[in-house]
Amino acid sequence: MAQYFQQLGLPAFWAEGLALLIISILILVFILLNLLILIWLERKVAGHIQCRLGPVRVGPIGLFQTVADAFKLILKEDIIPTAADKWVFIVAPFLVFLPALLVFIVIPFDRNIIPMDLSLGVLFVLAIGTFPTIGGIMAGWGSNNKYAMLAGMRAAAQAISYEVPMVLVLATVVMWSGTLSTQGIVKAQEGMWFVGPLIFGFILFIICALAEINRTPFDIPEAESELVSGYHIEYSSIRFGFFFMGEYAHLLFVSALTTTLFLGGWHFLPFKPELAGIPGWVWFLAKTYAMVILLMWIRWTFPRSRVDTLMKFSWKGLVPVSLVYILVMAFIKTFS
Amino acid sequence: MVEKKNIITDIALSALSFLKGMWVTLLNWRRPRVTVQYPFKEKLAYFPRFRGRMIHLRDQDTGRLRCTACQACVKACPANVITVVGDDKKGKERRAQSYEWNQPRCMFCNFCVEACPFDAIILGNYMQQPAYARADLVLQLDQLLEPWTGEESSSELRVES
Repeated sequence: MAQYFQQLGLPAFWAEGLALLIISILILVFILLNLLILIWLERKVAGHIQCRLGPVRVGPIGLFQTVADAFKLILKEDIIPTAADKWVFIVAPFLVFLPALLVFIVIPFDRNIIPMDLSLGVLFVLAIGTFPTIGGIMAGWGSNNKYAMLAGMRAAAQAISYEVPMVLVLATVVMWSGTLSTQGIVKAQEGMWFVGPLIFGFILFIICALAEINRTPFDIPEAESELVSGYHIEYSSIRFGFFFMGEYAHLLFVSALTTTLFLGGWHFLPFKPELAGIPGWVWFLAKTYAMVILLMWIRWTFPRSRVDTLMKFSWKGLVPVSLVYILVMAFIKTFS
Repeated sequence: MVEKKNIITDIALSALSFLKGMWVTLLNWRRPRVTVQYPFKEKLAYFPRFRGRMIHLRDQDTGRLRCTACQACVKACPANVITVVGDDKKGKERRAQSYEWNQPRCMFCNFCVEACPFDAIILGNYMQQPAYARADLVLQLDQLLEPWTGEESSSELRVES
């Protein structure tokens, strides 16, 4: 895209800048549209799993429910507690929502549709993916509320403990494909998706990803029955909207990442990478949404983990297992 | 008591239990939804002897209302929700000029129905739709009528005495 603008006569700097601007707007629009669908989908899936209907009144099958909810949220009163740390309180929601947008830069939608093919794609994802945790702690601190603080601390502890096995699994994927670039990883899955040889890593990655995005069964930081909304307890109106959107943007991001790393990205089938006439991003979106539905299915099936069980599971269970796993995979890769 | 199981089978069995749980929730897609989309798509099914809104019944042959404003229901009502004023005729020829039934106060005890010597009123099979003001729920005689088809009136099916 930058070359296109350069050909129009703009100097290189402005061409790049304009291209980046348009790409970021496109990503934003893509995510917001998907958010509308995702929130609706979550409520419908939750309803049907619980033998009830989800939203049905607003729009054809309740499709405009999210719009109605967003409208309601905007009209609410924006309350900032008097004793709150204002700067920290106000910035926290943005820190939770924006990284989810940022990581979409390295997700490949198609063979030549990737906003920016960084050669360090996976590392970039890991780096940016830790920002929401800081946002959580800031929200907890800035709220001037003991329980929000507790929840923020729990969120940080959980994120850190599940970061370790996730990085190890990602290292396995990188090792198997030989490149850190996400587009390169998808291209390396041309013959066989990584979910085949790395099935155990796939399961580990899903568990760690669920914990990273604070989703049941690991949603202690926002455990409604225990800490009433956790670290976003003091937030109202559109600030809460940002946290809410952040959660679903993270869900989308994690599904897209799993699709890219394990399920073959924009490929059609393991041994048939392309189907004539149908562009790759159709398969990408289909697989991403299949992952989303899987994660929602998991959410509405399992009870919440207790926080110490959660930590124990990570440090005593997942970390040794993933260390052994990466060792075994390294052997297999070397001698195959 | 607790047999010492191999830790590998332990982990394998617990991992399997996760899948079992997910299978159960998946099966819920096959079960019917329990939501009743009232009142827009489905009507609630009331029991046949449900005591709902009061209905004034008509005579089978003549089509005239049976109520003669004899005040029996007024005297029987424990909550004093009925007010009747009759016209000037005497005896069974008299008809009710105005009949007011205060639904918010009624307790639907059926005493008025049992007291009526002419089987003129019943508490029918549906509830009044909600209103915005209490005054809208105090019903007059013209709101207590059922459309009369001239054929088998539902009064035949529902009067119990």
